[in-house]
Amino acid sequence: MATMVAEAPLTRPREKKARAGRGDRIYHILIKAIVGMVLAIFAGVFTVVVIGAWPAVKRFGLGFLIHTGWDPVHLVFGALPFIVGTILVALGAMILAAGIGLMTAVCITELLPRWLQAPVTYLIELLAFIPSVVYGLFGLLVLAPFLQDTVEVWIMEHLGPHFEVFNGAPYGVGYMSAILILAIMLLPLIVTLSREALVLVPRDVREGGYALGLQKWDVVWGIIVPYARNGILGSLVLALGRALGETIAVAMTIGGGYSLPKTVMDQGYTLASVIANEFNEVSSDMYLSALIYCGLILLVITVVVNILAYFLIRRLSGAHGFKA
Amino acid sequence: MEVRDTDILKSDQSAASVDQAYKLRVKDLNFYYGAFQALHGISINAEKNRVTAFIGPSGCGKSTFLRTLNRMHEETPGARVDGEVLLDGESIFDRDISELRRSVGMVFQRSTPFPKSIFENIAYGLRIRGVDRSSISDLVEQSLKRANLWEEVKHKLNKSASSLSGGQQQRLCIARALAVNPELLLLDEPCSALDPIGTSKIEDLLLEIKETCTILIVTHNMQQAARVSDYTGFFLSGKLIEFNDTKSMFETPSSKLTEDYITGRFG
Ligand SMILES: Nc1ncnc2c1ncn2[C@@H]1O[C@H](COP(=O)(O)OP(=O)(O)OP(=O)(O)O)[C@@H](O)[C@H]1O
Ligand SMILES: [Mg+2]
Repeated sequence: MATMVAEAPLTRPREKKARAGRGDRIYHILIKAIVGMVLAIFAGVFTVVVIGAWPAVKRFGLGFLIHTGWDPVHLVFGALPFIVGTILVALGAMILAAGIGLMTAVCITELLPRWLQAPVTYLIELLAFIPSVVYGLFGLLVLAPFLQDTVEVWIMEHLGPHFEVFNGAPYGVGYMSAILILAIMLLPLIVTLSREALVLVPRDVREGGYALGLQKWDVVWGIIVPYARNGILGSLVLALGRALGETIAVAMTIGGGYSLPKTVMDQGYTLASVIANEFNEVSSDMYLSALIYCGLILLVITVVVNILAYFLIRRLSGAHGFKA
Repeated sequence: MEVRDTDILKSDQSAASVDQAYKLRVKDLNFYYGAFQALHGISINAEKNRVTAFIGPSGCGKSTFLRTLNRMHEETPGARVDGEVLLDGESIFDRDISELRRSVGMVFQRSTPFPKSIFENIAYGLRIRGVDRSSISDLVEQSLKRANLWEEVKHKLNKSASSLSGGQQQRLCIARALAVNPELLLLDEPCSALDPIGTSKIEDLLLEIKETCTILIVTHNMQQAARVSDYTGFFLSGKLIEFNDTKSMFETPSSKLTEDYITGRFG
């Protein structure tokens, strides 16, 4: 398999010539139509969100992004805690999931015997098919009580007195549960996609390392992982998109709260989970508009992150000429 | 171990003993991929500081043979080998595998630079082995010079290795293998992806490095075998049909099968 992939670049120019002509034109029209449709859908969604958020945008302006306070009765709204919450939860989950996920992918491709690789990969892929709400239930009913009785109590007793960030009450649900649940949800994505990138590394590259007498560890981390880095980064970008937008599992495990987090055990909201949890309690048009404003912020963050990631990957692949 | 490696680098093969004209002896080597036997009782002796070429039709086991000599087959699940392979009289299977692979360099058919800069491609292996910082850049320069690549890349050592041409990449891989000063260099069709100019540069290079190193090369190209090698072995279906000095092999082959192959009647 590795050989086939390595040969692909050699045959590509010939294929291109053969495909010229009418087929080529149809292909171009099709591509343009699809691109147009995607852009139209995106523009439509964006317009609807902007229109919905407009009253709140007009009333609170950009101050909405940097103010704290959520008072539906007096119509005082500020999204800073949710923005911070979104970033903290996504970042925390990404750090855990990227570290563990990459390790796992490497273990699968480089350490497991071949006959075990496929079944293990399949099992991990299965994790991706579990619906978010089931992860949420698991977080709420199993993980949160577990954290509450063990880890959080320990943290409060042993670290709390010394560090302010650990000096909170063990609620169970809260940032810690949400981050862990989200990390578990991201794992299958990162593992399966980075595994694919690792498997595509040509055999000759791998053996080129072994032929120098390098140990497995040095070949894996110094040669194979760098070779696969575009695919791995791609998997991380997809996971980050999911982390920023994941709604129901986070809403069920993060507890809810309108102020900035002070300790790792606090409860709070992300942009997505505040919308999910508050939507049913909307008592005024301005309240609804403020929630949609939160949605607009999330949309912008997601788009910006993806554009940045695109340029990052392009720059990396351009600099080294390994185009995916 | 680290200390000894560096010594080898510096002492530049002064340890060569006189009584061993043969760098490599292979005796009754059988090779199996699972139940499939890919090599049948191969025996050859390769002379020191000579180029030995292996020819034969596709699938006859040339790569398999070469890959056993630095125990690369151990990276292939299910591969098994029996028989004797002696390097300087010592069985390669008794040696530490990393240390063996440093004395037996290997260059593959498709040049495969690491995803690093030109400099790092050579420096990486050295650094991992604990060669000290100050001598690394000297060693990099020295091995690029030995691989006749220095002039072409000296102004862009920090550029990505993938920006080089195919022939340059192949010479970079040779430089990478030479940097650890191997006693034996295995090349598996090193020119098969190169144009005639790239090919002739590599061939000239082989004639230069055989001064310091014993070379085994697999090639599909009979003229190449005739040009660069001192000895030639002909493989067919996992058997070594004939092994002789290159001149006799091409002018007066003793086996009908060899004759058919080198005159292009099959394969
Ligand atoms: N990993 C493997 N598993 C099973 N069989 C293999 C494997 N690699 C090679 N073989 C078989 O062993 C035999 C010898 O293969 P080898 O690659 O050594 O041939 P070769 O002489 O190098 O051919 P070529 O000139 O095409 O490179 C072939 O029949 C091949 O199908
Ligand atoms: Mg081969």
